[in-house]
Amino acid sequence: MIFSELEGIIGVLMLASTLVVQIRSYIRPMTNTVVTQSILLASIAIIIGIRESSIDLIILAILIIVLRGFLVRYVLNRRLPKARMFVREYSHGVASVTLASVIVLIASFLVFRYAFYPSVHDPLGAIGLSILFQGLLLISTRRNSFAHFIGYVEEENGIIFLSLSIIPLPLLIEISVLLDVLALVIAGTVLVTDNVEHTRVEELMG
Amino acid sequence: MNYTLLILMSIPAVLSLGYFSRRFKEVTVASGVITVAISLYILLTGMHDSGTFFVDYLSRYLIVTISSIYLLSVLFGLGYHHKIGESANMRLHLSLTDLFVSTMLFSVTINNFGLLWFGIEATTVSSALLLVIEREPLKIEAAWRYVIIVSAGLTISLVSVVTMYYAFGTLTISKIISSGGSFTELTGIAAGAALVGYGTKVGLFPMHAWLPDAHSEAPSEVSAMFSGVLLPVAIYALYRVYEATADPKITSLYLFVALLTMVFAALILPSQRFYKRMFAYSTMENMAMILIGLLAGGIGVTGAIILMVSHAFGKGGAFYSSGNILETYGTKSISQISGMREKMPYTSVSLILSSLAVTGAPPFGTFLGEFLILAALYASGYTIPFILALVSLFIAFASINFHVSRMVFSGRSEKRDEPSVLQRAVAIFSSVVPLIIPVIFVLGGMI
Repeated sequence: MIFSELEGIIGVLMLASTLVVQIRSYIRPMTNTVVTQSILLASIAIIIGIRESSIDLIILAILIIVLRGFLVRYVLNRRLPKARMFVREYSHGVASVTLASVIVLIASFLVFRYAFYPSVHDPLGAIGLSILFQGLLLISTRRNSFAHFIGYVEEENGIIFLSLSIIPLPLLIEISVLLDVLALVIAGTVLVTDNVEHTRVEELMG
Repeated sequence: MNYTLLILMSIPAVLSLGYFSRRFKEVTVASGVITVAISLYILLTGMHDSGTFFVDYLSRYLIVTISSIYLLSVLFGLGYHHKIGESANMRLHLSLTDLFVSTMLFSVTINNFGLLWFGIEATTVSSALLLVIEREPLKIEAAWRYVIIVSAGLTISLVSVVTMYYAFGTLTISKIISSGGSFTELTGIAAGAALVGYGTKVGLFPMHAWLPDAHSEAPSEVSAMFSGVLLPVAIYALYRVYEATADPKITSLYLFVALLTMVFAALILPSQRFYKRMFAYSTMENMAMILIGLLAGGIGVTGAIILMVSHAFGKGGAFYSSGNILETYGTKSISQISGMREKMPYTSVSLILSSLAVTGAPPFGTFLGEFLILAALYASGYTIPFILALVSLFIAFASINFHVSRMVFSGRSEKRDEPSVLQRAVAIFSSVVPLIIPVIFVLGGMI
C-alpha cells in the first residue's frame, strides 16, 4: 500500500516537473528540472524494484541516474554558450502554451482512460502517457535546440514510466533505450551551432 | 546463433575502425564488397532463421538491397567527395556510413521487437552526422529536423513495444508471428503507435516533414541510401508489427494513411522547384505503394518486394545523377538547369532512365511491382483505393518526367562538363539494374 502511494506521489511530482518545464524560458533551469524528473523516475524504479524484489529494476534505476542524471546534463551544459550565464528563449506565447499544455494533459488522461485502462487496470500509467505527450508538445512549440533535447528526454522518461507502471521491459531493452538517448544527445550536440534558434528557411519549404 | 548473419552485420561495424587507417577508403570499399558477397550467399541459399535472428524472404531481399546500395554509395561518394580528400571529415563520413549500414542490417535480422526499435533508432543516430560532412547552415538545419522529428516520432513506437510485451508476454518476433498474432484493444494500440512512430521514419503523411529536407540537403550518396534502403527498413519494422496485430480495422487504417501519403505526394510533385526534393516526394509515393502491397497480401507482397528492390536501385540512380548535376551546375533548382543533353550526356541518360524507373514505367521492375500491387488491391475488392493509387501514380509519373525532360532537353550548351568516370558509371549502373530485376525474378521463379 505504502509503495503504491509513494509511486503515486512521485508520479505527480514528475508530472508537475513537465508542466514547470513547459513555462520556463531559461534553458539551464529547464535542464535542471528534467534532470530532477529523471532522478524521480529512478526512485520509482527503485520502489518497484524493492516491491517486486527485482534486481533488474535497481540496475535500471542506477543507470537512469548515471546516464540521464549526470551524463546527459553534462553533455548539454557543456554545449550551452559559456559567455552567457543565462541562456534564454524569448517566447511570446506563454499563455497559449500553458493552455495547450493543459489541453494535452486532459487529452492524454482521456486517451489512457479509454484506450489503455480497460486492459491494464492501473491508472498510474496515465502519468507516463501525459509526460510523453508533454515532451512532444515542448518539441513542437519551441525553436531552441536545447528545448528540443529536453522535450525528447521528457518523452523518453514518460515512456519508461509508462512501461514501469504497465509491465517493465526486459533490462536489455531498457538499457538499449537509455544508451540510445545518450547517443542521440551526443550526436545532436554536434549539430548545435552558435545559432540555436530554428526558423523557417526558404530552401526547405514546399 | 547464426554466425553468417553475425559476421554480415559485424563486418561494416568492425571495418568502421578503418577511420584510424591510412587506407580507410580501400577498407570501406572492401567492407562493401564482402557484405554484398555474404548477402548474395544468404539470398541464394534461401537462409531461414528464427533464433536470435529472424530471417525470411523479406529480410533476405532487404539484406541484399542494403548491401548493394551501400557498395554503390561508397563508390560514388569516393568520387563525389574528392574535394574533401583524406580529411578527418571524410574518414568520419565513411566510418559512420559503415556503422549506419551495420545498424540497418541489425534491424532487418534481429528477432526481437524491442531490439528492432533500438536498431531503427540507432540508424537515426548513426546517420544524423552523415548529412553534415560539409558544415553548411542549411545542411545542419536539415540534419537537426531529421534527428528531432524522427526521434520524437520513434519514441511513440516504443509504446507499441510496451503494449505488445504486455499483450503477448514476449517480444520475440518469430514467436508472435507464428502464433498468428491476435487482435485486442492493446494490440490495436500497438499497431496505431507503430504507425505513427515507424511511419515517421517511413515518411508517411502527415509525419513526413523531415523527409524532403533531409533528402535534399544530404550528400547525394546518403540521399540514395536514405531513400533506397533506410525507409524500406522502417517499413520492415512497421510490417512486422502489422503481421503481429493484423486485423481488418488495422488494415483499413494503414491503407488509409498509405493512400493519403500517395495522394499528398502526387499533389505536391507538380509544383516542385528543386530536383532533389522532387525525388524525395517520389520516395514518399513509392514507400506508400510498397506498404499498400504488403497490406494487400498474396501477390501484392511479391509486388512490394519487386518494387522495393527496383526502387532502391532506381532512386539510387536518380540521386547519384542529382549529385553529378549539382557538382556541375552548382544548383538544385530545376529552372536553372538547361542543356544537359550536350553538357552531361552520360548523366542525362542515367537521369532519364532512373526517372522512368522510379515512376514505374515499363519495362522497369517498378512497373512490374506496381502492376502486381494494383492487381492484388483490385482482387481484394479495394476498388476506391485502387483508383486513387492509379491516379496518384499517373500524376507522379507525368510530373517527374516533365521536370526531368525540361532539365535534359531544354536549352543548349557548347561545353561538355561531366564528373568523374566512377560517378557516371555508378549512376548508370544503378539506373539500369531495375531493367534486369523483372528478368531475375521471373527466372528465379518468384512470379
